[in-house]
Amino acid sequence: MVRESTLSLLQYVTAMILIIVLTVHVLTHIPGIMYSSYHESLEPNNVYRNYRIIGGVLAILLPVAAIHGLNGLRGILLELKQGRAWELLVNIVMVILGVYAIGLGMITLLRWLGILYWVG
Amino acid sequence: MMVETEVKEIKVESKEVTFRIRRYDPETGKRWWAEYKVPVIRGMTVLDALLYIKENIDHTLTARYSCRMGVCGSCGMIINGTPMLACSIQVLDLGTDVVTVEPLPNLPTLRDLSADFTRFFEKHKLIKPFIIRVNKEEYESPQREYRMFPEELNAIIQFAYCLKCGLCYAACPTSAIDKLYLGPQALAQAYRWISDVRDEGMIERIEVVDSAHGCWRCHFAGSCSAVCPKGVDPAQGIQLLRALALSLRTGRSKVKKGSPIVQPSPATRRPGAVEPPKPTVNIEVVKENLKKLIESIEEELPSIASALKEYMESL
Repeated sequence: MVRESTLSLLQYVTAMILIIVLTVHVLTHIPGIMYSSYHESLEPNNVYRNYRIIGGVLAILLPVAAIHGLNGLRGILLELKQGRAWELLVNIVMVILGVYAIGLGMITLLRWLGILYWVG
Repeated sequence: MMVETEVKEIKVESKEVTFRIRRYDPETGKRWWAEYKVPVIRGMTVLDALLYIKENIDHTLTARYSCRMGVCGSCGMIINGTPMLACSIQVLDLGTDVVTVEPLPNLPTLRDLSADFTRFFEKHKLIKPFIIRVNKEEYESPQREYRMFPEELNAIIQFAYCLKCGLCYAACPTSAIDKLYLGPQALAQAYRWISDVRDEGMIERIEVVDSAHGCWRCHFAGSCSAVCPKGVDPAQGIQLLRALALSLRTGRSKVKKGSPIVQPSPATRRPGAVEPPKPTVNIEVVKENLKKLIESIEEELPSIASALKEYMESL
């Protein structure tokens, strides 16, 4: 079982990393920097293009945001309801959600990066 | 001879204040607001007003109190929406014509304004609010006290002022939703005992506070510190406790060794210091005087004379 202090330390570290990687991520969507409008930045081709340009940043952003978000959600859920069974359920669900979100995102990202690299 | 003195009649101006009190009857489970009109005079505390109601208007009103001077921490309640000690706030200082009084939230209500502190003290007990030493033998049969310098005491003194009145616990938003949360009082006390130089129970207490409902659940609202009647800053204590837990887990701090037992220093006098005065009572002179006294009362008061004789022999 992971200690609460370890989880909190993880929360602080991920928060600090998020400040940097999230800034880069948000900058790619702000009109006038890479694309003329927000909608344009969300077009599939541009999204895939972003994978190539800031693929490394996104690869960091995905697990860091998932860990930070799910850890925060876990804290909220543990405050809303108490009990050993609930605690266990929340922990298991958060781990599953985290593995799923990070896994799915990483596969998508690496596949695109990999295909592009191999092709290129 | 009779002396006539003129006693002037002292007129005390009073102001009528309405007290809206949240009542609760555990037998029926009924909760309701009751209103009482109280003639309030200058200097009258909310507790005085409650006692006035109990003595003159409604004998069934229940409230816990003891010292009436903000020392025991028994009369904590919500006054005009803020947790306060009823004995420490004067009615006229509140500045309202209607004063609402409710029992402390986040704790079950026993009756009217009396809250059940069982849960609160159970949490306090969890953090082991006493000095823990590794050497149990020395701890169980102490020969002398453990050393603590004044500056070491100053480092924790504000947390030692805690009255256990429960106001911080009542004001805490996390305690309101998380019933297992240790609460600001217990957490601040955990810091107080861990930081005590005489203590060696850091690991045991960190195990308790570094839990799912321990110090990491604090949202740092700071309401605990805002309502403390003794100026304790539990919010700061919790942050310091977090820092301690993190530094311990990351290996940046080691478990401290408690301060040693104070050894008696040999009696020495500063060079040039004046000699202390010699004892003024000469035991031989006392004995001689006693002997004379016994002889003089021996016939009239034999029992006292024999008691004095016994005493004289013991000298």
